[in-house]
Amino acid sequence: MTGPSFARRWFLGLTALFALLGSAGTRAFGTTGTTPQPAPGSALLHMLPDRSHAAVIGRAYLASHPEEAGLDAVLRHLEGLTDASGDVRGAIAARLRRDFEERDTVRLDGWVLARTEARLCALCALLNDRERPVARLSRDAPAQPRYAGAVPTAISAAATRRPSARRTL
Amino acid sequence: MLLYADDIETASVLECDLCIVGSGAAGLTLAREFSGQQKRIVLLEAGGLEFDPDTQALYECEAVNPRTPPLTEMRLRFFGGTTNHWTGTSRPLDALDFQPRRHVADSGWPFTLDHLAPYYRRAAALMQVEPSFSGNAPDGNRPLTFDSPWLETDHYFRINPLRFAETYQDDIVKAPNIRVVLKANVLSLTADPTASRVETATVATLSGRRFAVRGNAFVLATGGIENARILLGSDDVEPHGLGNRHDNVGRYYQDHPNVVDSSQVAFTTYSSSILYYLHRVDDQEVGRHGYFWPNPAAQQLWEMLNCGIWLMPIEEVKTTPGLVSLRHIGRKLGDGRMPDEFTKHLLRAVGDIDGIFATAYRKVAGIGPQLYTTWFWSECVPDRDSRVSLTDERDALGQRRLRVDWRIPDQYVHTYQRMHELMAHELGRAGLARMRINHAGPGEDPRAYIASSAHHMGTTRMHADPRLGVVDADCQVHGVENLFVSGSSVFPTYGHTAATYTIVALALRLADHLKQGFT
Repeated sequence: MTGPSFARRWFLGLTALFALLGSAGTRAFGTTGTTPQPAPGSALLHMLPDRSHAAVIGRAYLASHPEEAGLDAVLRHLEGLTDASGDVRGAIAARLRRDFEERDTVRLDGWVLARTEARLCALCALLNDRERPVARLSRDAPAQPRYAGAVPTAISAAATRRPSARRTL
Repeated sequence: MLLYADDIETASVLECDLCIVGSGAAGLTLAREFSGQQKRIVLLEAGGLEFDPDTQALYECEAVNPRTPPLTEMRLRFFGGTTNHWTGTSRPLDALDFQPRRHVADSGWPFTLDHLAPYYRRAAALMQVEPSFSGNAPDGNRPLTFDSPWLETDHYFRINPLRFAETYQDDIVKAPNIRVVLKANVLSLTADPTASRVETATVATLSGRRFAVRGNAFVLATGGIENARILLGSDDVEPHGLGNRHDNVGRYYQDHPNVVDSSQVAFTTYSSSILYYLHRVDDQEVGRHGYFWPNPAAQQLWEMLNCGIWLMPIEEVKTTPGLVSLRHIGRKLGDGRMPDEFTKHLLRAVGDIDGIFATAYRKVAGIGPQLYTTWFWSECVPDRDSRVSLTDERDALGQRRLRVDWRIPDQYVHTYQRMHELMAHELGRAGLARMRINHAGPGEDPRAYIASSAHHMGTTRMHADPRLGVVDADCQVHGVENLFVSGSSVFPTYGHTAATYTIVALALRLADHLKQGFT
């Protein structure tokens, strides 16, 4: 077991992921909740209310998969999801379902995660490293990414938007 | 009639039709079935009506596996046996437990679940639980429902810690045909010269009395370890013990290893269905506890043992010092003993009243967090080398003490990993949760974290072939026409559920069999 502060960061990282995956969760439980709306032009990071915590998971993934420790490599694996058009949230949920069905999962600090969500976290980590300290997602003061030129347009645009309503555990 | 062995003359012989040795769940169930009937019953109990440390010390044994807790803490040697402190967890074995499974060596029973089902229903009435264990719970809780080809979510345990002695003492003690003899330790069974029939049971007391019980039939119902001890110690005719011509007595010993905090489950959102998987008690004080179960197809495909995963609020594992002390006090008082360092524990409990209150509030209010810990339960594959055997050390009665060598084969580790992965994948696929699996990383072995469930099984296993088992399908010791064994020692395959419910069902079945002609 790791220390409590590290464990807490992991937990918050998962919280961030669940916010991203909120649609899948509410559908499966059949409970009421925020109905996800297709967001034309939105992209991955738009749905992550707290990239820094997700980045903890992402760094762990990159440490165990150094062959993917680059923005290009991660984006290549996430091809299809980084497209700004269409139902990105639905596409992610479908990809995660497929990962779990095909047992294409990774074990990070004991957590069993779909490879795709681990890569999404890796993307957060890489972007955080690139954009630090400017690119923080904040409800009050969205920041402009300094190095947006290297990031696909859809993602950089999404990174400047306000996050959707945050789901809490 | 209630007698004390110390009041019986040394060298005297009690005559009966049926001698039942042991007054736990099996022995009391059997005796009650004969209450008020024509047959003369003698029920021998090693202890008295209450806990006695000197009698309890007769359970002391040597444990090879350090994960084996002392037998003196697991079993109770007085009227009512271990039902005086059991948790009350009840559920029948699964259909697959009775079937031979290709990936589980030496698995299967000589009959099916359907055959035992009527006895399970009778056991439910006797144990005061409803005979339903699947689907929506009677307390209104509903299981999670999601499409999974491998994971079933709608099964639960009933939890009613019925004190058999307290509940059924009058039925037995007031029956004119039953003599209950307390403080009567059976040392051995004396067989005829061909070892095909038991003639007497030799009984001793700690005060030095010795007498015999002669019966038409004998039933050993002294628990999963002591049953084997008595057979192994009955060596006056058979040098390796009665019923042990094929060296099976004491072998195939198993327990249900369980691992607390085997994983954590973080649900993506809250659902009241999570309550289905938490321990809860209804207005009638009957508890329930759902679990996640790999279905037979999953078990076969991934060559898993039968197992289940329970959810627990994380507070119950990361418990407070006050709760630890409170539980210590409760456990000792439950055993009829004054807790050691009582004042210290009481003060600690009082000092941590906030922690205790918080936990209690969660239980009462039924409020659960979305992060849970899990409790993993599994059967083990039957293993000849996992066994109990006699040592040369003697107890206060001159009986040879036991060595318990509990072995947990590698297939347990495989099952632990596969089951957690399966649940993680299925909950993840459904978008319900993510899981963190403990003790399953490279170089880790969950066997280092197991606890015993005090379910002692297999030491007189049931098998139609005398070369592969100690008792036949009627629980008769192979080759000994009037000797029977009742209890979990006859389980040839163990399932993942607590044993008592099946023990009682088998005792009812044995009673029917004995009524048909053996007495």
